[in-house]
Amino acid sequence: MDGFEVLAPGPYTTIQDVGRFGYQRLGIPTSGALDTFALKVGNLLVGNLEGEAGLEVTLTGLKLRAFLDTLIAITGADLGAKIEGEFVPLWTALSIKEGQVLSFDRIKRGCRAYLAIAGGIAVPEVMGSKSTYVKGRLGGMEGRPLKTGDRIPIGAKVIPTYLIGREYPIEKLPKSDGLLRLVIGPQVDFFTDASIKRFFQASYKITPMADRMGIILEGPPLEFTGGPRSIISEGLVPGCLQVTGSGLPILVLVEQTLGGYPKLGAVIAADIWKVGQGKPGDTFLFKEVRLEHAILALQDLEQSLSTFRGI
Amino acid sequence: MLYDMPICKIMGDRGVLVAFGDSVSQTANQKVYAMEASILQSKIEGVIDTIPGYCSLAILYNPLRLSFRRLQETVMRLNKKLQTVSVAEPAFREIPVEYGGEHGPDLDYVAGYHSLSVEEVIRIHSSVTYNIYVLGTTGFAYLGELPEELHTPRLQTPRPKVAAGSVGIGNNQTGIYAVEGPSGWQIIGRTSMKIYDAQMDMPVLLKPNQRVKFIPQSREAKK
Repeated sequence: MDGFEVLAPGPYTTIQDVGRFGYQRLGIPTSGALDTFALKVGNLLVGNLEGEAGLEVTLTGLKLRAFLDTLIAITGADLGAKIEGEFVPLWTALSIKEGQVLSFDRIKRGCRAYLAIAGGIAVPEVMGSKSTYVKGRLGGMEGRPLKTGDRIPIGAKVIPTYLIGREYPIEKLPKSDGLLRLVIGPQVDFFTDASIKRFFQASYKITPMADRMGIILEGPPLEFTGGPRSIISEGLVPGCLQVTGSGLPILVLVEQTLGGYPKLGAVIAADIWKVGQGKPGDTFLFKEVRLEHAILALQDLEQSLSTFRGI
Repeated sequence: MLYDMPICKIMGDRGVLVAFGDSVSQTANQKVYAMEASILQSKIEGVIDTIPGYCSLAILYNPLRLSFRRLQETVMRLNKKLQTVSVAEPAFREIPVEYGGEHGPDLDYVAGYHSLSVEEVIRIHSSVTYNIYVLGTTGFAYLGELPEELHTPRLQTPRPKVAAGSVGIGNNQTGIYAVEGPSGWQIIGRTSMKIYDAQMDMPVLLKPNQRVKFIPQSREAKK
């Protein structure tokens, strides 16, 4: 069943769920939403299972027309979402009518908005996931970003109209404070103590070299102790902070499975969404935390989701 | 160097890197696959994904279900029985390759570099049964071990684009490009086999730890 027609695709809009797991051994990265918290809340708002696929909308320009009356939620970045030219609230279950136009045309905060649609997006699962992996041309809409004229299929479902107006409490949203907590990791001994100390004091800016594979940061370089500057390629997790031979930090996201750059550590799972909401020019501070602290932070984030789930 | 005991390293709050050594060797690589098989067979609650490397295995886990310490203990326990683990070895595969010509623009250079004839390079490269050490992003197959007579430095300037199926040499490694992409390797041939096909249920044709052999194909034979 056609749900929406793409009138304008925006710079990079893809279908993403929570990711494709179990195939990284074959070189197929997980993909998936960068801000999974936002995607999950959006799905819960419209009565979907939280892991259902939605649209990941990058910056502005996306314009869609509804083929039918349905229920949607927009979460994550504030990209100036409007229905028929009127701003609509984020983190809220909204009604949209047949023929109405949903548009995103002003960057207010963040980088990626998520559009959840009642019934979910009815593209086939590829290796257990609907997530788009553009470099591998698989998942989502024919393995590519949306383009003008696409028709987004949605799952058949009785529209849960009783959910209209339901909100996620804004005051309970995780804070976008630009602070990335990091657990020191596998190759920390490659770098001088002085440059590690400086790393945790300096601020790092997102360069234009930023996509779903990773983000190159600009700031004081890490310095090598004089030993090797590369490693035999090994597996990665999202959030790994790789350092190039010239000391440049690169944050790994969801479209890379192996890497040969040494790693200072990895940003904790509870803070990855902040990386996904960063756009070129935004800055981050890093804070070293212990593993126990990282797990508590993840528990907090999970807790706020499960509280909401229970309502 | 091969370690006496694997080392479990913390990689963020949901990754563990199990290192068996710090250099490329068949022994370390075999341990990686034995450990992976062992982990997967044990169906450990909280383990989400595994990524075999040359000499390390990355394990992605859910820290709310499984602690680092617990996972580390499990890895060490499984390590004791690693010899007895049966690793299902994927079926041996022959890969037809058309060496030289437009499909292998660097074959002449490789021959010249080693003062060998083109025929000798083809013979040596296709005489070995290789192991797929790792599958890189989108299924790039890194193979070992390349006979030493063919170790050749990478290009001074990488090519912006080589075709899917290209077979190349980069220093002491040889490999197959699953998809089109940039490359700094010496490209000596190309296979007509579809190494990556997004239209298939399983787009990646080759398997990690699989043994492969190149079968030289003359252009005439293809017709």
